[in-house]
Amino acid sequence: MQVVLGKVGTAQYSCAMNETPATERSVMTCPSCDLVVIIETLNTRADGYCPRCAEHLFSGSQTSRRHHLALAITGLLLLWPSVVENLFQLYLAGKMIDVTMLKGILLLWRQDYWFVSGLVAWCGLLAPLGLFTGIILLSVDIWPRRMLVSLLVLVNHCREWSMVEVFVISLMVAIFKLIDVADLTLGPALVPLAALMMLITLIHRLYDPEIYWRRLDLLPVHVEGRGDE
Amino acid sequence: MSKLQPPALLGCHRCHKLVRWREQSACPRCGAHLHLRTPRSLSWTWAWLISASALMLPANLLPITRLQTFGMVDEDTIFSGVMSLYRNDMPGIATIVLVASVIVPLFKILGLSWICLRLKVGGSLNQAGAMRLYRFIEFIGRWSILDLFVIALMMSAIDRGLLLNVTPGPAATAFGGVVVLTLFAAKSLDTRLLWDQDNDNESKEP
Repeated sequence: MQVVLGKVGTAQYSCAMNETPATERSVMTCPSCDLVVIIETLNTRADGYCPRCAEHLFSGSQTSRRHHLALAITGLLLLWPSVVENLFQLYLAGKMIDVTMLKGILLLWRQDYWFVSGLVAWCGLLAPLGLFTGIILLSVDIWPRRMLVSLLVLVNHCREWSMVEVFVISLMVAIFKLIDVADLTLGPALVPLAALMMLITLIHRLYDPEIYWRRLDLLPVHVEGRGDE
Repeated sequence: MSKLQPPALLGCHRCHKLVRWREQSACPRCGAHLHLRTPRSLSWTWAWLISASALMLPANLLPITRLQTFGMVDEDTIFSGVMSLYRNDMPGIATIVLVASVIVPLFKILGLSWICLRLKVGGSLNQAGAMRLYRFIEFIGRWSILDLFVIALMMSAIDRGLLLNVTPGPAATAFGGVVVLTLFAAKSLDTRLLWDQDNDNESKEP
């Protein structure tokens, strides 16, 4: 699709360019090191990386909003069972105990550890939820400019904070800690949880915010200087 | 502001649109305030790092879990929890917990402080190496939350009222603070500062 050709020089030295912007995305600055790179459109699907600092510049996967929507709906369907269903059951002191993610969050809250509870809820449940709902909302074209910007910022935050893969490893640690102490049976939530982990990895690979940012160019022009942030 | 003269080409930090930077201008596409370098990026990073280091003490010294058995309370700090895992022949699990909850936060704080110090002091800097270190810190950062997930799971697993019960200790909150603050510290560091040729950083933070 597009490939990084080479460098022009750091941003501050290359002011001599034409006032009219070159064709879409053919020139960009690296967000991590400020190098100006020229991007040539080729017929490959390789991702682009900065030639100086190796930052990921653009995704070569030619996915559309419909792909993202499909992934997000799947994610939303998987999220619910992996949160409320049994991760495992424990036979302890004469009683079966169900272990779910939601129960852990609620118990922490009830013990007045609201910060820890909130952090676990945010990283394990709310951030993935925000990611999926955000992408679903982005698939329709009804948003005014400001709302679209907020949605994109929200999706970006949720993408950084969803830590389902860490939760899966934590689950393994907990299971290994308990397996010698008590009778343990694995529960039905493991399957959607594993699928959810792979799905989020896939979204990380395929979701390209640039195609949504470009839609902003189609909306009425933003008043100069009325910047938020 | 010696080298960073307007009008310079700049990628908007929010939507990455290529724009021509002028003082006090906003991104024409997303409306974000444009700045060549994140304002006071180093000061913010230092602030997060110092707060995180301060919380490292209670996080590691106070008990993080309490096990109640028939009214008896057994308290574990992060480190004693790791040691008891070693003693119970679970070296793999013990290593995972040790790395995620002790080594990773410590490494993040030290690594980011080193980068900030080098930026402050100036002199020749292995830019690619520093960038690799930063990326590594960004990558491992999220894994330190592992212990909190484990606590949530253990709590919901061992819950038999007065008979047998696991509750978190005060270190859990402090440790959560360390995790969040180190993530903020990594996020607030503007890596473009590393690549500015002359390391005269004061002038680059408008």
